[in-house]
Amino acid sequence: MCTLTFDSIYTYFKVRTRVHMLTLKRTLPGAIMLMVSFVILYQSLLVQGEEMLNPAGGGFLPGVIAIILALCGASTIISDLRKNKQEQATAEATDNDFSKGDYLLIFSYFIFIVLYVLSLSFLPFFISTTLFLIISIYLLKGIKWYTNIIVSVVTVTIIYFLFSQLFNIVFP
Amino acid sequence: MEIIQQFLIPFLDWELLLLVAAGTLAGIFIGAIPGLSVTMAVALLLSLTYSWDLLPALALMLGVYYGGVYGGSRAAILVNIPGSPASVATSLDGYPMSQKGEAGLALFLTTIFSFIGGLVGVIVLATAAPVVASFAVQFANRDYFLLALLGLLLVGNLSNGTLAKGLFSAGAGIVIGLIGMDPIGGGSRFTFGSLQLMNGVDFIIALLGLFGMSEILYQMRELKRQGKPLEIKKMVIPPLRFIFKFLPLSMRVSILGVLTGALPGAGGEIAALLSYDHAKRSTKNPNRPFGEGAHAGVIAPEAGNSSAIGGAMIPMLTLGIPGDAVTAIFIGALFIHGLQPGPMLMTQSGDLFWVMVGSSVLANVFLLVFGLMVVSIFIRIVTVPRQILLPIIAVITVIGSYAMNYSLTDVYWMLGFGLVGFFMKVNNFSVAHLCLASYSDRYSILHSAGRICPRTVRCLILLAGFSQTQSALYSPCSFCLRYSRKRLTTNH
Repeated sequence: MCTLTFDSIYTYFKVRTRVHMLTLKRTLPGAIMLMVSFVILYQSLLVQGEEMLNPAGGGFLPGVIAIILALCGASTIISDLRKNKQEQATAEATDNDFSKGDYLLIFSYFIFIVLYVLSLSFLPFFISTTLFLIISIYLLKGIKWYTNIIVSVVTVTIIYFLFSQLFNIVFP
Repeated sequence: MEIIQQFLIPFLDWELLLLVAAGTLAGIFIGAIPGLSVTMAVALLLSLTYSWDLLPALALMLGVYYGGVYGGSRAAILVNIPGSPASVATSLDGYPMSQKGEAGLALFLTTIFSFIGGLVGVIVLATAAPVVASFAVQFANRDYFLLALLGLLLVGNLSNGTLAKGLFSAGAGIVIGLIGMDPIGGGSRFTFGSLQLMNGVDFIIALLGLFGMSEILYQMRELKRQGKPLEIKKMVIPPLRFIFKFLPLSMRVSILGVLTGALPGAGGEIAALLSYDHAKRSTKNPNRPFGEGAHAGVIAPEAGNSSAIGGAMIPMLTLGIPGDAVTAIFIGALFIHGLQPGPMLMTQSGDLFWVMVGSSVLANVFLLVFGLMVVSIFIRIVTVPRQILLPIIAVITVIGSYAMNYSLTDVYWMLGFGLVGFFMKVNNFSVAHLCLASYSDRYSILHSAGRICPRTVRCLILLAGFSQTQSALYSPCSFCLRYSRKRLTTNH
């Protein structure tokens, strides 16, 4: 006879929650695909001066593509849901999974690149790029400070010479 | 005899010889830098060589053209950023080879087979130009539509993940290609009210973001893991037997490349894509699965895009129609020097034709020599610590995208594409599909589905085109349909 204990109920709900979370995570790409499809479909309906159902109109083909994309999204969700739930529950983080720490590092660096691009509009190219390289290499760790400075200055000089002198590109 | 004399002029004139050599070497490095396109370099040379004699100017430009198309694959293989659209297909297997420590072998193979492909292109240009040109000009809108359809069907073969994700990437790419003004109705599509989007999205910006920036973000994870540094396997020059094994494949894709390159408006990127698809279908026992570093996966697109150069010159020299963007600039160069490209060029200035053929052969020889010489230089890129390499690539992608139109808005677009590309990679979507399909010029198969296909479909509908559609089945491009059907039955 099975006895229900607090621990077993807790474990049951913990496993269930984990299964739901993993299911949600696995169906996320399909859900995003559906969302993108609907945005495209909506935008196709807004194409100026054209009727949606007129095959010769500008919004017709994007509309058809949006429907195909939505079908692809639905197909992805279904195939993800069909995967063995048990397998989902016991699935350990694989090498291909990104952890929260990975995302934090990636997005921090992305924001840093955006800041560098913003700085190009008010700082000279040479200064902003040298600073960007020095700070980047310093933050990413593992490189000696003098190597960092030499590499940054030499790289910026080469890039500057190549783009501005040889290809006559005017920097911001 | 006279033809042979004209053909040998570039080999015997030291000035032309040096200019072809300098152009090829410069082209290799220009092509290898993301953001610097061959078109940009040849256009710049046109202005620099304005006051030169015609033959030295053409010799230099031809060198840059061949070197640049070949050089694009360096960055594709080493850092997964195709230097040119024609190298996108090379990155599919070239980069995985590099990740497995076989960058040297990948660079060696691409050099050998670029040379072979380029040579086949020149031979076809020299021997069968009028025949190929007459075939190419028969391509009407309907044929381009069928070609576009074929491109969409290739999605299934290029997809390494699920077909649905591959289709989604290609479809989303087509939609990106549709951004801007509708060419028939004049309305704005997907511009969200922004005037800056009326001209659409530049393909090179998408390329830099989807491949360059996304790869930087993707590689950041490896920094945190502090894994073992990449070991570069000592490059052993493969035996001749190994080269001969791939010779039939390279010949087939080279012919495919010449024919594709000869289509006005098509180019090396389509040739490379078709060649890759052909290799994937026809290689029975690849050393590794395609997409994971198959040798045939780097050989085929390189042979295809190199041979497409010879193909692109066929309609230019025989009909005065540019095969791609670079040959359009060549036409400009000929005009500047008082020559009229077209059927009369062959009869009035036949010597020029043979000098160009000779220069092309010479450029291929220099490509082989320089390509093999600089393998060891390029290979060092892979050994540079990621802490240094990633910020430098970030700067080059930022400056490269800015240099396209001198606009910081383009840089923000590139960053946006980078973020999209990163999430696509994380979720196993193909960025190559999105990129090829979003080609905002008219030189791509998948893009054709974005620009040419809707226009053609709509024209067909407007003309109540049953008869038009019926005639399409009997057109020169009907092989596309047969090919597509065969593909569908083989793969699905």
